[in-house]
Amino acid sequence: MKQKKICQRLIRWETMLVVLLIVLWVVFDLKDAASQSADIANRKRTIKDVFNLPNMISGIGPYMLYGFMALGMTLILGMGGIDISIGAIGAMSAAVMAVCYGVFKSAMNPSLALVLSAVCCLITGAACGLLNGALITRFRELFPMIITLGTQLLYRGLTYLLIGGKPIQYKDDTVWESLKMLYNGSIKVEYSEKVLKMAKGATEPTESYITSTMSIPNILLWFFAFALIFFVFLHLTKWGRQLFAIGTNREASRLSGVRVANFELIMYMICGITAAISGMFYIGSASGTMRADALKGYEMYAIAAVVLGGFSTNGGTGNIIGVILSMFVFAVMKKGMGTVFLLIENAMDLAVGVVLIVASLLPNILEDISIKRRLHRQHKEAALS
Amino acid sequence: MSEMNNKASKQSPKAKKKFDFLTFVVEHREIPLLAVLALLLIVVTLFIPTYLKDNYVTILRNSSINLVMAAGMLCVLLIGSIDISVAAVLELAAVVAGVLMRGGQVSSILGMFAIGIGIGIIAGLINGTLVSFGRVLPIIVTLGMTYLARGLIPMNFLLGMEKISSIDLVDPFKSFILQPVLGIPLIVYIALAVVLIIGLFLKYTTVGRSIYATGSNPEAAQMRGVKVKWIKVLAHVICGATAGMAGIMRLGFYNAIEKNAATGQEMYVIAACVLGGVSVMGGYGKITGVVVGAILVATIDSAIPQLFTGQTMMTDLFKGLLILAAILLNVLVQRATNKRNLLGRGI
Amino acid sequence: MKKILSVVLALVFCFALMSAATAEKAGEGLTIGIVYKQSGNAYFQAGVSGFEKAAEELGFTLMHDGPSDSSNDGQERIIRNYIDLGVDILCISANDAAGLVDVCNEARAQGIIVLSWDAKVDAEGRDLDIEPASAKAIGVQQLESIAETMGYEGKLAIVSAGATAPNQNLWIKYIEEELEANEAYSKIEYLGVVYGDDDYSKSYDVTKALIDKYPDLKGLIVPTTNGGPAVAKCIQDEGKVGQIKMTGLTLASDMADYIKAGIADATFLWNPIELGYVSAYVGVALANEELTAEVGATIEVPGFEGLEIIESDDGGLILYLNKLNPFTAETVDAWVDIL
Repeated sequence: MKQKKICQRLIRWETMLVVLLIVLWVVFDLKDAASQSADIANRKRTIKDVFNLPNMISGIGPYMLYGFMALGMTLILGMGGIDISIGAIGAMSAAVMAVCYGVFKSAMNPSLALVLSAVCCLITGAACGLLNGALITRFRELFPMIITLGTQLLYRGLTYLLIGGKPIQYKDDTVWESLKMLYNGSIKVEYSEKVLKMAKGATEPTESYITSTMSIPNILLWFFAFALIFFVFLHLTKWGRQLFAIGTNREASRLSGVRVANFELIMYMICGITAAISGMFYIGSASGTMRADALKGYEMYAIAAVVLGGFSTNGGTGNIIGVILSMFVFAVMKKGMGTVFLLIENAMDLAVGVVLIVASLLPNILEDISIKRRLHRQHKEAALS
Repeated sequence: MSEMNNKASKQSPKAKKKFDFLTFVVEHREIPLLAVLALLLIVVTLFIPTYLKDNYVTILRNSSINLVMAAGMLCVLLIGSIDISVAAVLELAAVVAGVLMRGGQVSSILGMFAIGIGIGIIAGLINGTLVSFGRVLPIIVTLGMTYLARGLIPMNFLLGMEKISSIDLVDPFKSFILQPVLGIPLIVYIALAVVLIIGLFLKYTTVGRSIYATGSNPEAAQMRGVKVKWIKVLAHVICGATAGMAGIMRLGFYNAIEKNAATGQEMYVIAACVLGGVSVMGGYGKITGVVVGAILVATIDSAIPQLFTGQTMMTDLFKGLLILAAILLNVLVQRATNKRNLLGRGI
Repeated sequence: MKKILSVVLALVFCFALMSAATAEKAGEGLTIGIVYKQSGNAYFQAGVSGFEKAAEELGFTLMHDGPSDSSNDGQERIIRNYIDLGVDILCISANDAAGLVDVCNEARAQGIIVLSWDAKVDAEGRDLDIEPASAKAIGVQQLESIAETMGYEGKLAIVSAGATAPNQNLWIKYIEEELEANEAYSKIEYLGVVYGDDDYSKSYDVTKALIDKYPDLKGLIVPTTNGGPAVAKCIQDEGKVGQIKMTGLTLASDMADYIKAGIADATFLWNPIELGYVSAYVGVALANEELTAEVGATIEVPGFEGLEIIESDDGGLILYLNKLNPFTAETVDAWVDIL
């Protein structure tokens, strides 16, 4: 009995992700130590830790940008749908926000203008999501993917129409630049770090300690806050249960009295809003500028993160904790490959592809094995009796 | 497929008495599409009177690459699967073949096609195996394949930081694809040949009909002795092979291939199929529809930039709107006729 | 392009032999992190080989990378990686001039010298910008070349990269201003800009659309290395050789066939190898405090004369190489192996 429990817990996806995270970390850390000793041999001037927790946290910002989209995507994948227009929705919402701010700020107090334009941004996201949802629920013959492929072109086209080729920025506008605070770090933590220095002509490096600062990016904190909301919604409320029920069997849910179409509409709308939020953070990340080609391809990153997080695109299963973990797996993997193994960005695309396929293949293989083992055991028991 | 034929033959006596236009339209889903195509052409001709005269060869030529891939995509959609890695596979095939030609390992046209199709088959085999034996969802598998292929291309053993440009290719290959035969570039004949082969294969061979059966009802097909899993692999292999072939055609057409070529083309391929009335749920779709769909997409592609020259911002928007509208219109027409059919039968 | 490597290697070898005598090289122990717009771009490959050439002479180590999707946050990721790796000098070709200001300032706060080369980072985020020539000179040179080919009359259009490409937009701005202002171009009918997104087939298609819509088109300016060969191929396929001429910024190897076929009389490009080479020298000099980034400062780079830091339009500091190489039917073959 006990053995079976361990086996089941191992199969739990989140545990596997934690193991994966630890393995990645250890590999990168060991490799880092190895390359440091190589640096000493090469007599580099200063040598310090490249891959460590403070560096990882300070630099995690760019890897979190699509986190909000990923959270929104959990709702859609949980229901068995898919939405690949969210990158375009995010760009369009952020463009609307930038344009609105320009219009509003001449008419009113800049802070109020910023708040109002943020509201416009969210409304745009919601409206785009609503359009997706409406088309998807009205045209069931077509895959959600086909429809959102089309709307993606539409939203991206509208974005170009709205702001054209020139990036929008408001230079020296402190109110607008407060958007940067969404993204950049405001909490600084000081810690002491070991540094090896190679003096000119010396054969052995001298060891010294310096105080470094780690800044915790605000986007990380925001991501945790949103993830908590989504966790509560998906796993602790009746709507969450309804959502997974729709993913498992839409017809049964409809017969049991859930207004499936309306429910789906709202979920696509929320997904649109999360895309708009990602758009807002993008403006913060890009030092307060907005371009029409922003967030291109982010929908695929988001889907990859959610699928690695244990959501199946068939719907019905998944856990937000898995998604949070998978965001970190991707961040650690990309960061480590880039800094420790000095691999170019493209190699990471390759790794993402492999991880994605393996992540969705592994549960099926494990399931096959467990079924086979059960059958084997049943055979044995039958033979014994 | 045979079920469908039975149904049709049962209804045919009634249909003979009164020619029902809508039923006819539903059975030939290309018809409304042709109407959309005609409408688009009329509108464009109003603005640019010489449009069709100047451009029919271009439309055919530009639709060829998409058409070849769409024919492969048809097989995948028929079994209820999807492949969004076709553009990436196209690029990978073109890059590998181009690199080999640059290095002098290959110099014949046939060899290039063999390499391209070979790479496509390998990609399709991986996709198909994972989808059918690994039971992984097609979107995820092919998304992963997209990352894989696009990640491989800039590796140093392939393209690295360089690109394949016209000086890397041999002259016979450069002029092969676009050489005119009876006034029409060879690429169009190649595309038609592929379409014809796949169309005949689907319609007249047992294996081809098994693809339809697998898509419309996998359990029933299994009962009747169709090896459903292998059929799924086969469909993906066909799709991969056409994508690889399209890669060589593209290389021959443009005489160059670089990183990130053909991004987003999978969308136009799928759009061509869906426009052609292929059901994404599997089991229904005809090659003729796909041909018309691909030509419609190519027409939109060529007409919109001409209508909005100098306002590039509008082109993407209108392309998206038109494709979306055409897809939705297609569904609405089909619904209306279905409803009418039911009413006609007193249900 | 392949032969670049052998040329560089040969150079490297010579310099290695020459510099063996000098004990301490200026860049010993320094690391340069090079960030470019996108990976897999031959133009930046050439730029990096310039850095490599300088590295052999100065003894610094270098790393280089670019995002696969030409995105701003992809570049931010790479810059942050390089900060963690402890580079001393960052040389950035920015996708979004304003977008990288914050991360660049973080780097500068840690004592890293931030240079932008090829495409600027905004003035508040950089120490110095290094450009081949002023944007105005680049724009006007192309216009003058095509105008001369066209006989100063007829229809002219531009096939650019993406609508958001900052360099191209700047050049186009100057081209349009010059068309307005200069009396010599009054008979040229300017049709506007179309965008090929640096994608071969898209550039081809938009050119095709242009040619179909304006059958009497006479001139095309293509200020992007990725678009040039596509436009030339389209002119060739449409059978308009002789009627439509193009010019632009292109690599010689891409265009050799088409220049010889008479589709372009001349195309231009600065030498990205030289651009990388000078950037490396400037970076090392700044890091060793042999050079201070201020107006009027000059630097000695082997093979270059009169390199002086001046103030740029955006209020920052800039250094121009002022070398634009024309590729014509006579000269292109000499360049094919280099660019």
